[in-house]
Amino acid sequence: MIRLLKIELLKLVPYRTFKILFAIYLLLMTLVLLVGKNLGGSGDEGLTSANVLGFPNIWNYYTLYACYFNIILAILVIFVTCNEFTYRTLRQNIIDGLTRQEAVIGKITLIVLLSIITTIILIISGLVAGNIYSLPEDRDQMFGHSGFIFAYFIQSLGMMSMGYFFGTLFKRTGLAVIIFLIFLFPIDVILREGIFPDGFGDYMPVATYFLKMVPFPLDHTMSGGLEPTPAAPTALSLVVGAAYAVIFCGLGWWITKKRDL
Amino acid sequence: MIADSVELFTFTSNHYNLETVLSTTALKKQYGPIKAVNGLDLRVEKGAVYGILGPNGSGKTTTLGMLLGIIQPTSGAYSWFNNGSLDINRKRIGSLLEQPNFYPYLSGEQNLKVVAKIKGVDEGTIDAVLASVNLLERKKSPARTYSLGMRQRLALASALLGNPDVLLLDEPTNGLDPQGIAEVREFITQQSAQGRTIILASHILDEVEKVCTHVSVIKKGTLLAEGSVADLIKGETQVEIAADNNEIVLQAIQSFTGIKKAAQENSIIVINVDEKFNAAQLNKYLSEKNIYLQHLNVRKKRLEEQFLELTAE
Repeated sequence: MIRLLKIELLKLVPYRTFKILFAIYLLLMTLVLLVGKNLGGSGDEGLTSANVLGFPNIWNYYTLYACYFNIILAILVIFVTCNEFTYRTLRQNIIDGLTRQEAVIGKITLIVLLSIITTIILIISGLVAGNIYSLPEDRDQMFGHSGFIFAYFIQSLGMMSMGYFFGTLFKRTGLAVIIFLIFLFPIDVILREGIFPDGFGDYMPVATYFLKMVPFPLDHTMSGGLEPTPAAPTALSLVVGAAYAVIFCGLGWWITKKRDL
Repeated sequence: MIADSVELFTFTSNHYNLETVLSTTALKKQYGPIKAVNGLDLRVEKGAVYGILGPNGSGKTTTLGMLLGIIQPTSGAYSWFNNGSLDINRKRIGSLLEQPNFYPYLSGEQNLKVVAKIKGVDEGTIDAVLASVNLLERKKSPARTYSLGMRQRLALASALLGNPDVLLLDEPTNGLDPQGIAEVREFITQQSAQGRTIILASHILDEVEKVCTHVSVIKKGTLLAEGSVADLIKGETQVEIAADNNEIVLQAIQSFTGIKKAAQENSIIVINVDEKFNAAQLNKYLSEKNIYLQHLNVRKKRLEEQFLELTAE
């Protein structure tokens, strides 16, 4: 496993697109906190920076926005996966003695590693911002609502697994990214609102990741911070979200096993 | 005609005593109605330089793809080192299949690090293989800046990583300039001298004739002939004769010993003969019938002609 991860890192770290996309990701992860910093003026429905960036609410609000940046990482995974087809290096790796299973596990360990790193980034910047903006009496709730941190980790895994699946299925970068984006926005809305409106549609992959696992704390916002934010994501959303990650990776593995390279 | 040739060039039984590096049994790959490889039985012995010769689209690359685990056979089996089709066998094989494939943004050295990690080979050997193909000075440059010849050499360096028992090369001189071609052939000869078994797929007869010890000829995924290059070349002797009236000559030689087939080509009669044939006797025999030859030439049939004959429709 470590050997496979090392192989993936040998390919990834010198890859300039990775460096650029990851830098953009880091920038967005920190800059998004500025949105909460300037709250408190009129027209903000009474919300203050302390409401949004203070513990424990920061974990609700931060993950809510940070989730969207995982789209960048998912696209990065699509790039990395499709590169193996366009450069014909997956084929070459197999010829050189890698098994198909190892090739898939390598990508999955990479996705897990990236998810761990993104979650650590979330925790560190969340703790820093939280310590700056929390009211003194909220400091002891530093790790309250931390279920959302876990939800973010699952969401990272799931989004990148989705990217891996689309990359493996379509092989060509441009095509895979476009279809991924179509799946991300119109298709999911159609599934949710048009085809399965009776609640089942809320557990389509994208809806699970963006609406169910990190729900918008509507009551808290509308009440100007008087009502509490949800204390934790629902267990169902976490289970479904994790299941999708497994399904996407599993499908990627199944395709890789079957296909002539 | 083809049936004759197959019989003529099939392996004789004494070859089976040697150590087998690769064997395939009824290996088959079908793409819809198209049989790319149609029941191929090959056997490669240790130390051979084994050529797989066939026109473009004859199934060479598909065959090698199956042997290297990137194409799933429809049916049939293959075995490396008498160890089946296990993935681990490939770590003992250095391969160059079609064009070299590298991560273009990685340097030559970084690319080989990936291969070394896959094969479980010490990274300390990378410089040595790069030096052996003359790429040491350029090892830090991204692979995308390499010329085709350099990429080919990098691929050969990569194939050499881990000191493989077998080198499997598919059209290794494709697209190279004459110097590049000479370098690759020199490389094959050197590697063979070091005791490596070499499997070389090619559509270039001259190449196979120059470097190979054994050859199999395939067409449309079917094995037409297999044997040592020496056997294939010495396989048939041809005699060219010509006289003033070739019609009479053709009549006259019908009963002569050792003649398998005679046919007029332009103004010359080309005769396929077997070992019982004697040119001096023929000359004498014809002169006794008052036929005097203007032209008599005994020659070995070239592999090229064998090949064209074998692969003809």
